[in-house]
Amino acid sequence: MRAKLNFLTAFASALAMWLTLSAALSLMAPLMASLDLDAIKDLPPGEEYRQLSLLMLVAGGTRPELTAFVEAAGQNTQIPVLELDDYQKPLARIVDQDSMLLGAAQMFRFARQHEQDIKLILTQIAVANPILISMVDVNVLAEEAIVIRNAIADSIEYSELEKTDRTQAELATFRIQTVRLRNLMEYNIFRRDLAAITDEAIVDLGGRLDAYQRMFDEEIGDSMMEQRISAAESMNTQTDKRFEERARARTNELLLMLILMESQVD
Amino acid sequence: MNSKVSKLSLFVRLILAAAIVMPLLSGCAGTATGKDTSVLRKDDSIVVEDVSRSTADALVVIRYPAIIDVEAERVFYHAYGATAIGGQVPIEVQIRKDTDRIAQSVIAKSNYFAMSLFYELRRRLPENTVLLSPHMIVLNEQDEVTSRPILATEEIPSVLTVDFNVYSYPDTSKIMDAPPLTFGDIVTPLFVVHSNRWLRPATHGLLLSSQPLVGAAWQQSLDQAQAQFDSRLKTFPDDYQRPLDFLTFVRDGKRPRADLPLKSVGGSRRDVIAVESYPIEKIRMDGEMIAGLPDSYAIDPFIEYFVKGAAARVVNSLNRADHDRATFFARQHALARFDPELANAFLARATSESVRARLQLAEALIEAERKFLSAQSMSVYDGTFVGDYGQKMRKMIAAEYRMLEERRRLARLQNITTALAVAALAGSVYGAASSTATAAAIGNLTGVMVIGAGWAIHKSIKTSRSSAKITENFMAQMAPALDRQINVQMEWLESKEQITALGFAEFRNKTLTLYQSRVRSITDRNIGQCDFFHPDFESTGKWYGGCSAGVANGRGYGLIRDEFGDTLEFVGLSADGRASGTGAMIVWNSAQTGARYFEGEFRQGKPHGVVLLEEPGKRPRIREFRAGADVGSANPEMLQRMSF
Repeated sequence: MRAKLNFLTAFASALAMWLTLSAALSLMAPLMASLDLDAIKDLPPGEEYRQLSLLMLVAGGTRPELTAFVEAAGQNTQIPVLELDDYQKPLARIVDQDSMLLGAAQMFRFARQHEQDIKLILTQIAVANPILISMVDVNVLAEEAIVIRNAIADSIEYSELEKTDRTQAELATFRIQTVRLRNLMEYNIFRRDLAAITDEAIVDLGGRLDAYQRMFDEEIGDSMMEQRISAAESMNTQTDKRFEERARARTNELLLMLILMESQVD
Repeated sequence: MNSKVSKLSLFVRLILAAAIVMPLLSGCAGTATGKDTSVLRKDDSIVVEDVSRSTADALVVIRYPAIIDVEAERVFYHAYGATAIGGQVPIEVQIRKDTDRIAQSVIAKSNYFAMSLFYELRRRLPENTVLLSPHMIVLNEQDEVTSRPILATEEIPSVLTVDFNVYSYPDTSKIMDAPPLTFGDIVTPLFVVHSNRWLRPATHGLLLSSQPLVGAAWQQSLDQAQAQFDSRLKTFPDDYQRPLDFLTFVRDGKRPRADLPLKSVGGSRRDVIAVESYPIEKIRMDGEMIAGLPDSYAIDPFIEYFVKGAAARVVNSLNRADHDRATFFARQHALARFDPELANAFLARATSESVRARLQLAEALIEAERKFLSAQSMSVYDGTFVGDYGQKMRKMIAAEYRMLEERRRLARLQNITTALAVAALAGSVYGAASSTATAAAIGNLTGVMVIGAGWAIHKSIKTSRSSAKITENFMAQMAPALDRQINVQMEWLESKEQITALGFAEFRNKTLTLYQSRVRSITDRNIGQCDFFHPDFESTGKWYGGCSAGVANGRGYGLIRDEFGDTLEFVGLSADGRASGTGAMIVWNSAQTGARYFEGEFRQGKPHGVVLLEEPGKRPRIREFRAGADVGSANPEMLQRMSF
């Protein structure tokens, strides 16, 4: 696994500076020739994790048919040479669609070919640096990925290469997946806000109920219960004893009868 | 010769005497001893498998009577005495005060013992998936006894719902005899397990019921299914609230239905689609444990003797249930509460991203409510079982146990003394004929027994009186404490209801505001309501889902009712207004017991192809259908299952 990925360093730096992907993608293509996954390992773990995650989010859900179209559309590109600082300039955002599509095609293909390796690296980074990775804001990554994916989708849309129904369908799917990414991002924010409200409500309710329970415990004494239990037991005991004397008398009478019966026979 | 006859006669008499004495000595006739194991078998090894797609639903909701409205007390007490399980209570007994006390104690004890079941299920199932739904006994508009939930628990979709309460025979003078009872260390649980109709259409969703409640539970399951059907057919909100099955039983009396599909709990007919009939059991718990109850809430003999078995049964039911099928309509109902547009899209089983995303937010909202209600349930448990109320209940139960022991002692004494009296009299009578024989007979009996004979005669009379009195005395003596206990619980739960209702209302207000601020519009243009047909129904039904030219076309849900009250529901694919493609259908003929369920392929509204068929009282079968006609067995691998 010596895949090439050096382009990501420059690409991610550009993203970190909030450049649009159109410029970033245009940079990516000329760098593809010298990429490998090991190169990215020289980056700090957080940055390595961020870049690989971003790559996967951008390329997520793309199918070979779409990649082939994008690649074909970008075949005749004239790659502009940009300095890093150029990415922040508005002019840098105006690049030819073909070079952007070629860069996107290479990225899609790379992500698909090395999907398992990248996932493994992501897992290893997360295991080795749990605290660091727990602080990564996935939504920021999603925001960047959405910008990039929309730029790619627009470039496909505006491409002069003839699009078949299949390509149109693939493009629609790609856009829907981008919307889904946005929705998931919004869901994460919603869930976070909802959890805060829920936890607060539970704590608040618990506090009120605890206060009531304490008041309730203090108010209700045990004496009535004890008295009633004691009274019930006492009544049973008395009931038992009341018959004792009369029972003894009856026993004596019967014994006398038995003795009398025996004496009569003889 | 005469001597031989006399000796033989003596032998026979002794045998007869022994025949009378031995059962009395060993069995303590008339004294309910209860069983120490339930027919519901314990099995700690069963682990629940929740493979449902939704994370919003609860797995089990436990409903039980917790308090009674003052207005409903007299009606409930009267109805309770009039619908005794296990016998007829004379009218003069029904109107006695201590009969009222028994009815009162049933509420208090149900409230207490339900916590055992909650604790055990909570221990075995995933976090926040077991919820409590305490009910208040109230009067309905016709001034009949019914119940309503105190918390919002039942608004949360749940795979299973368990109705639980304990029972005592209303006549205290018979409380130790054959009829069921709940006294001291003996508990008679009543237990119903039900679900949504779609989980088990053939029994309207009823899975298990205590035998006396089967009729009421069946009727309630049917009523619930019909009410939900009506709300969807007529497009009005489903506000049906199922009262506790036990309360409906008490209100309406027995509903003997000879034609109900029933099977015994854990019997060999496990796969047959029928309601498991749980027999009345008098569960005898460990006496020493009961005596030690006041020491700690951690002592819970009910867990060991009933609850573990019941919990294992519930877990088994969960593992055998298709959770998505069980909660599909409950989820739709929950969504309709705060997002009717989404509820319709859900019913139509729309798959667009806009519906999926909105559904994800809505389910997160329901999940948050479940978490909140789970916290409420836990606080009910703490207040009822761990807190002051629980401690007092344990003292009462332990006191009852001591009374019961006294009663048993007297009963044993009664039996022994009666036996001795019989034996001694037998000897006495024989003694009148032959002094030798008399001497021999007396010689065979111990001196103590002879001396005790007269004592025995009286004791047998006396103990029968006093032992019967004990239960009455206990209830009479405990009445003020019981009153206080119930009032306190009433105060506590009412306040809790107010506090939690307020808390829940605030919570729901906040979460709904958040939800409304975040949801995006649903972009599906194909979802609507239009006509739905079936070849066997002359009337026109309603379809929620894909429509074309005013009739069903595509994914969705349809339903029809005819003039006779027969109904049909279908979830799945349609074409030209009729079921067509993969789907699931419930057909109910109102003249028959239970409904039929078809799942698989349909054409022109009828089963056509490989279809799973479920019918009352039969095992599920996979059959080949042609235009609605069963033409023979089919290969199970060819069955196309419906994905709810």
